[in-house]
Amino acid sequence: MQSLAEWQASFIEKLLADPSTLPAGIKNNKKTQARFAIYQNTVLANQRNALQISYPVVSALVGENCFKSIALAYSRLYPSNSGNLYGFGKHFPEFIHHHPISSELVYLADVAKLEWLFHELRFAADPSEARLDSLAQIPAHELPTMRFKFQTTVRLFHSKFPVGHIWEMHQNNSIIQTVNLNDGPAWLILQRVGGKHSILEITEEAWLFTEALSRSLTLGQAFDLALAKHPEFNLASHLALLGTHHILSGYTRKTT
Amino acid sequence: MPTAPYRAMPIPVAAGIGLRSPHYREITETRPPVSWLEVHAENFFGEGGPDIAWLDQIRQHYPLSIHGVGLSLGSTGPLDMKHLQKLFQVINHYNPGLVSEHLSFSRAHKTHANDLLPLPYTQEAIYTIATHIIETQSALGRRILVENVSSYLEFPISTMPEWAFVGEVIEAADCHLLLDVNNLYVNSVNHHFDATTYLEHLPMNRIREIHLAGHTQTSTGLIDTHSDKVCNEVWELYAKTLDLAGNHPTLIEWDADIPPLSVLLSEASKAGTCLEKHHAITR
Repeated sequence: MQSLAEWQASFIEKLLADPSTLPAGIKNNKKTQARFAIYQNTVLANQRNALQISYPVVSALVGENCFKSIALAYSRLYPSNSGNLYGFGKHFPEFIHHHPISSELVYLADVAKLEWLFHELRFAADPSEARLDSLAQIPAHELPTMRFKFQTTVRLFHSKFPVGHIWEMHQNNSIIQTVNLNDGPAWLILQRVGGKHSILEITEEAWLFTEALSRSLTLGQAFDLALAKHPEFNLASHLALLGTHHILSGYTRKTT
Repeated sequence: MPTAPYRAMPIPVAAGIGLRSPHYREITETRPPVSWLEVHAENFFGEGGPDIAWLDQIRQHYPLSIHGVGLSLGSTGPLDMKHLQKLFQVINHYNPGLVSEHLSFSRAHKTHANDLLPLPYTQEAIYTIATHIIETQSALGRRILVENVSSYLEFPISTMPEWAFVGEVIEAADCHLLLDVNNLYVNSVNHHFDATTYLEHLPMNRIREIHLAGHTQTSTGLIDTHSDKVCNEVWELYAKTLDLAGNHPTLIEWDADIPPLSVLLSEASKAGTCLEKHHAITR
């Protein structure tokens, strides 16, 4: 006789596999196959809904039927490993990247990456009060060794495609009607502001500078990277921009 | 998620509704006269963000029940301690009047179906789920309610009827029962048993909450979709439940094709009228 553990393993394996086979240990009558399919459909619908919530723009770009088929293939390849579907779509950008649809919609995997970052931001810890007031009082010789802390509600993203414009185009009240794929690349700061998602598009050198700071490089190291890309990079105005948009939460000074 | 100073608000013996995201704003702004609210725990497992911000506001004005859907109490093997820890944090933050989960399994090894799957009614299943309920109650530091689930299949390895299984688990785990009257009705139709016999065999003294919801009728059987109004047959069974079990907090659940808030409030008001009528009769 099967143990409960074996019975459950068989039930779930069949639930996620070929719809035409039933697990052992089910009372079989003429309705059994159709009733087992109710569970199969519910499982796949729950997982598809989770993907749909995380990836509304990808879904809109490929259309409902195509999204359904991609979601089904994804569920088969990456079964859920948590009772909370929050993390279910984690591998979706990579999956899209290797999916044949990416040869047609070359930017789709990057749109998915952007949407996953926004998904993470939706559940990220609320931002803290920024502590940047005393920045102006720091002696000039200390500035190059300073490091900055970022708000929990910020992510950086770069793509060779104009994915920021593609995302904006699919938001309510968007003024963007069409996107030219030659308008890329995109150097973006993604943010959750007051419960809503927003995108700040910046220059390549400003992004390289910001990204270096986010990796805890010093202000001096980040500045050098930006200057190497563009000799006229304006440090003061970019720092002011990061402050105005509440990207930074604080800083540390070298104390020795 | 920090501990918040929400005052304890017991769930009243009155009708409440399931709180879902399309209604956050309206409930916050209009504060409708509904007696209590219930949320799915997992929707608040994040570190922060808009869902938590809305519930933080709403919780100040309504008694709240927290209903878990992902702990998989009926799975063999150890409980998912990360999930339990998150559940603990949410409960610690919101100080709810009731906490509930399901008499089902969702996971085998590490693979989750993310659905409330029925268990075979065996002694091994009773031992497995009762042990997990006891562990959960110990981790949360409180007694929980467990809900009877809808089912579309029967398992030859079952050695007892569903009501005996439910009763034995609840006694073994020393927990409370969340009786879903719609699930009971769905199962009685799908598996051809008498719902009143089921009710008569339940440990009535263990009931602390009742769920009502809509289902979908198909040629295959009844499907517990939570996508419609409560049907007449379920209202009748609800009245019978109140006759046998007395009045209990009653929740209107609606999870798919979510209608305007006014529809939910009207269903809750109907449940409220049943409770008042029954109260008047039994006084």
